[in-house]
Amino acid sequence: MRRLSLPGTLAAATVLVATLVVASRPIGPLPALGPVLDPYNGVWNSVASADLPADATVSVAGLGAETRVEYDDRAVPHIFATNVRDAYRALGYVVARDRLFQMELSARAGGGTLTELAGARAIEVDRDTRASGMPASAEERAARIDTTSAAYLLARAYTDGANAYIAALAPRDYPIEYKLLGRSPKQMAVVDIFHLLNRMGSTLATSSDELTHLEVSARVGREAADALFRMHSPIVEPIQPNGQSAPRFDDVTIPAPGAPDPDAVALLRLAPARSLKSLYAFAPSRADDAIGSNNWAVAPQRTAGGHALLAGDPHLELTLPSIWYEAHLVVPDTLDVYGVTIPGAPGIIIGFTNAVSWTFTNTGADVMDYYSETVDDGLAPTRYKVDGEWRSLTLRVESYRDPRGAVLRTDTLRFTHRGPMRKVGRVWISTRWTVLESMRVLEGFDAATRAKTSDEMLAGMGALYEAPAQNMITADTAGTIAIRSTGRYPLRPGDGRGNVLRDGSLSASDWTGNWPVTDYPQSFRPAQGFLASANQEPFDPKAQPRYFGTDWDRPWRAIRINTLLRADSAVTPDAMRAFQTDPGSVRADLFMPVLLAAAKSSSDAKVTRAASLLSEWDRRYTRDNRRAVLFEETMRRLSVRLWDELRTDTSRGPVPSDMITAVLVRDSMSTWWDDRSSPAVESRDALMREVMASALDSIITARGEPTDDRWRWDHVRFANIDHLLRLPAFSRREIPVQGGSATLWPSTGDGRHGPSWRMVVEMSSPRRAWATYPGGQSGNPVSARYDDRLSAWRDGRLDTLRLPVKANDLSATQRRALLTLTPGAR
Amino acid sequence: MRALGVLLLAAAIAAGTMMVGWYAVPVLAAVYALVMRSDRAMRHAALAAAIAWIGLLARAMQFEAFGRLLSQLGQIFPMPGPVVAALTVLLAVILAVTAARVVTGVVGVKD
Repeated sequence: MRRLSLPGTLAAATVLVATLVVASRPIGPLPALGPVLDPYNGVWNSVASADLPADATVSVAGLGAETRVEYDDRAVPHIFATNVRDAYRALGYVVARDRLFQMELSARAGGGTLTELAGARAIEVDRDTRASGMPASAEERAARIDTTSAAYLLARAYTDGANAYIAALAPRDYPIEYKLLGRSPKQMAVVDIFHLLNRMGSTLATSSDELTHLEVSARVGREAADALFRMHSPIVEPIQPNGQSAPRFDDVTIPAPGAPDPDAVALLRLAPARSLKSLYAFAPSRADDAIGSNNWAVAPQRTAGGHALLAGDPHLELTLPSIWYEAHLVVPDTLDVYGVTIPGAPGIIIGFTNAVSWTFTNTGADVMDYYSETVDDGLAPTRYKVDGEWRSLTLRVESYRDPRGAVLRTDTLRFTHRGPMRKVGRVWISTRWTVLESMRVLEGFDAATRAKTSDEMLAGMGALYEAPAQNMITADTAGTIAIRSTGRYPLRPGDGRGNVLRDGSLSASDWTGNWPVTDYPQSFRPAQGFLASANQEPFDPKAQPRYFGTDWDRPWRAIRINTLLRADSAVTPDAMRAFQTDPGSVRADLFMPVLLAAAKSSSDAKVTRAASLLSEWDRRYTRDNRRAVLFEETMRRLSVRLWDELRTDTSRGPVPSDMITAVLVRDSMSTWWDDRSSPAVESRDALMREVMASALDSIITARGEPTDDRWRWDHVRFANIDHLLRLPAFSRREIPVQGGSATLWPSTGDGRHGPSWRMVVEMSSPRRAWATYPGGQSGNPVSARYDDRLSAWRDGRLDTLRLPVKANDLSATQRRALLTLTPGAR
Repeated sequence: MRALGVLLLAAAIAAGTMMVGWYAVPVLAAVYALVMRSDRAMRHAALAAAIAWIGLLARAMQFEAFGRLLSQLGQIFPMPGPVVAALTVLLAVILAVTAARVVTGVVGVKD
């Protein structure tokens, strides 16, 4: 026996130990390399689940009867079940099969438990989420839900289906994100559905109107604040038709900047704006138009085919995988619903049945209020005062855990009878929000999918659906088109306004009830033969002047849709499709003449050149146009200089929308036009000339002369679709778009929001439908099904949907894969 | 016989990786070195580990999605995708060689 050299052995041992450590522990942002690079169990095995197996049979516990899932050539599962619960169980299974990581991430985001997946780096996000009261509310609702109700049983069937998939999943088949994070999937519970719904609420139904009004009042007075951030849109093109054939410019005046409102100034001293923003830090931030959804429907008398048509175009954060998953559920004689679901939500959210089609835009009504509370202890209160009496706060200790279960930290949350309470600066502020009180959303969707007419569908949703409030538009096979801004809207005391901080020490500040459904914005079978919504103010304020909110999108998209629909009395499905990516801009049509007129009286060569270049533009945001970039820079600079009065040393402050600018244009000598930071006193035209010249300078500096390709719109504006973990390798960025600010395909901000699902449905018999979304059915980034719809989406094309009515209807070429679910033992 | 031994070890490493994971590599290499007690054990272990993991990677290469995965892993790490594949094999080789060397260093080799 011969001994080898000791130094050699020690060196080998050192290298071995070092390699084992590196291989078994994450280092910085890098995952543990051993399990990740393992060629059988690690990321390399992700290729094995990239394609759907051609034919698979799986046993699922709790299933009542064999359920057949036929995937078509677009990878859409058509679920054929013998009862509704089996259909939902199968839906849970197939969604988990394609989108497991997304399901868990969404639930954790809403539940404030991201640290359990991502570790301490997610703790601040989780703290904001928990402080919003969403997780507490979800848990309370899950505990209170009637476990014999149909909605619960369907939710349970759905989670059971997802869990059946998870339970049978070998670690080597975990989605790649779990492998990169070094985690395992968790089982899904019904409470996760509430977490997901809350998360949607935080995206769609939060408002910061109170803070905006406060900040503006503190700078230019309450009267100006009321005028700049108005209860009512000054350009009226409502969702509920008002009998007018064109938008109406109401005669409103914008008062000159006034003295700061002393009450607002005093409050902001106690609770600075920066601190107040923490109240809604849990809500995803977004640019104007980010949630710029469109929907419209056309009655049979205005369509070429004589059938009602419906277009759905909800705009949300764009992610990969997409927020939507396409599916079709069929239970003979009971259910036949096709559309998109959100992974983790039991049911089709947008889609159509044999009888009715429906889709949504966000209403934007004010359903979230803040109250300044009087507490017994400024640091750690246990009581709050209402009408002179002390009431006990409900305390809840929140623990944040790491993936191993160790507690990272704890927070004590406080709740008044209104909702969660937070300390903001030196003030304790509580929040009341319909999303936290919404119990029957699932029932609402269940009722919708069973409705036989538009009226029945909207009645069901009106009775059951609470939040987030949505403009639900429908079209049915009988030819009815209808729309209702459905949800729950609080009635407030006094002047009814919800955009001011209320005194929490008075019970008289509390909501006094809810709007009756009959008062909601709505229209059934309108005489004009079409309906449309684009997040604009739903009512004509002359018809309904009560406070409903202030967060109305500019009406440019609504005006454009209505213009297109008014001009076409024989609408085809293809025209509906083309409208969805229409590059026309009401905003440009409105502001361009004003800019060009202002430049006419100028002898400045730069202004003349800028005007000449702008006049070459057809005001359409096509990808190859070279002038929109100059218009957009001009408008950006105009907004910065026009609203200089709202600026502080440290921030730009709230910026009124260009709808207000459009109103102000009528008053060429308003003092608002003067940029106080310049020595001159500007009028409207002077300011416009200055911003045109400076915009031209800036664009030439950045992009060269106007003939340069860098002026092309497809070199300027992009959609940027990030993976859920923001991993560049799994993201698709810099996708050129045909749209700009306030077009029907609005593209603003960082390009991370946009059309999340485009759908056109013809309510013929049989029904016909076309749709697409930016991404693909698979959540597996290495799958061809991960982003196979992206190019069609970019180019405004829609796929023809396969609509088999029974199993085996799909031809061999139309069927991509088959999954048979058989009943198994629990 | 040597070739057979290497192939058997490669098969064992592949099976071990599939059944229990990446850490089967050093364990099996160590066991091999303990049994062999030869200064060739390190070379054999390295070769067998490389063969085993290249074989397992070859299985992944059968799938159409392999090219996409290679490119994506290249962006994640970040380095060219084929280098990530090479590093994968290198990881197995290092684990096998060092484990075999430590064992032979401790128990000695036959003259």
